[in-house]
Amino acid sequence: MTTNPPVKNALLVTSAALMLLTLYLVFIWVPTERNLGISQRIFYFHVALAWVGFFAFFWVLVGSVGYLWKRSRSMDRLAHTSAEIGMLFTTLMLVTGITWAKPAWGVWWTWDPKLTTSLILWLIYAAYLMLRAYSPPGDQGSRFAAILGIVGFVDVPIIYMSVVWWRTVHPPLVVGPAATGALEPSMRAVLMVATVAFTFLFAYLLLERLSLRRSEEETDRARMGVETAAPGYRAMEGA
Amino acid sequence: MNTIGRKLRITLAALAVMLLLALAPAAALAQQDAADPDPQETAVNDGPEANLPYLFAAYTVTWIGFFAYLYYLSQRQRSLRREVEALREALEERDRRDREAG
Repeated sequence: MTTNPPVKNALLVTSAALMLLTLYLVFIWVPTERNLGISQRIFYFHVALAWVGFFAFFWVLVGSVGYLWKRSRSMDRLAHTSAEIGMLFTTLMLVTGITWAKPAWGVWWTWDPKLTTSLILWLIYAAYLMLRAYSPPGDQGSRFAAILGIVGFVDVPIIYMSVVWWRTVHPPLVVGPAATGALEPSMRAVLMVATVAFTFLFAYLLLERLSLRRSEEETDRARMGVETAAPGYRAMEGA
Repeated sequence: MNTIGRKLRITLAALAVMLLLALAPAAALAQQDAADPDPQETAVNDGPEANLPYLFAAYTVTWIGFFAYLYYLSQRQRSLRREVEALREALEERDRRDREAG
């Protein structure tokens, strides 16, 4: 996994440029949807955040399988980091969804299958991050987290298919293999640009957090060595 | 001095970005006003402004979320730098003691 600064800078600049383009398209270029009015513009961020959140959890799955298979620290680091960023995207997806539900449905929240399974996904990965935070350093915590990361991903296709399998108030699918809902071409184009912009932002955040996590692990190892050799270190650090 | 200048530039850039993001929903409202001057024609009964706070809130929360995460990363980086510095001092102290003892 590269942490080359020019690559990170290129990702940051590209995601910033695409984000500005997305804002222009969302607020100035794309027409207002007639039934839902101005609040429908939340859709472009809401759906893009959801897709990139799922994409992040896919990398948790890849990292977890890789860790269990090869016992590779870098795969474990990838899973942990992707889960953290996936939680950020999923939290924002839920918040934008709640904010859109009020003007569209008249309520902030309803126990609809799509919303409920999305909340379950959030809770699964919140549990994953708590497990990582509170388990002792070493192989056991990583192994348990990898299993949870793999099992947790099962919820992602359930969320996607929930509008097909169950009666729901959530709008039908407009992207992906099971899409049945119609979306005007200009709206589809804006959604695609927003999704690409958030994907670049995800890639930047992932590389930035991965290099920081690697530094944290190296510092932890160095601290353990120094604590053994120089017992006064803790007092110096606090000074 | 250089650090203060850098901080000022970053603060001004962040404020400019915030202002741009805050004004973005207003552009959409202006567009809707121009496209649909008669609010009675829309399915949204209370006119184009009715749902603007929701749109504003959704986008503001998203940006605050990303900025907060970037701030958290920068704070972690700063704390790591401090810790590396403390480790370096501890190692230098150990070397000095070793030299004195030896």
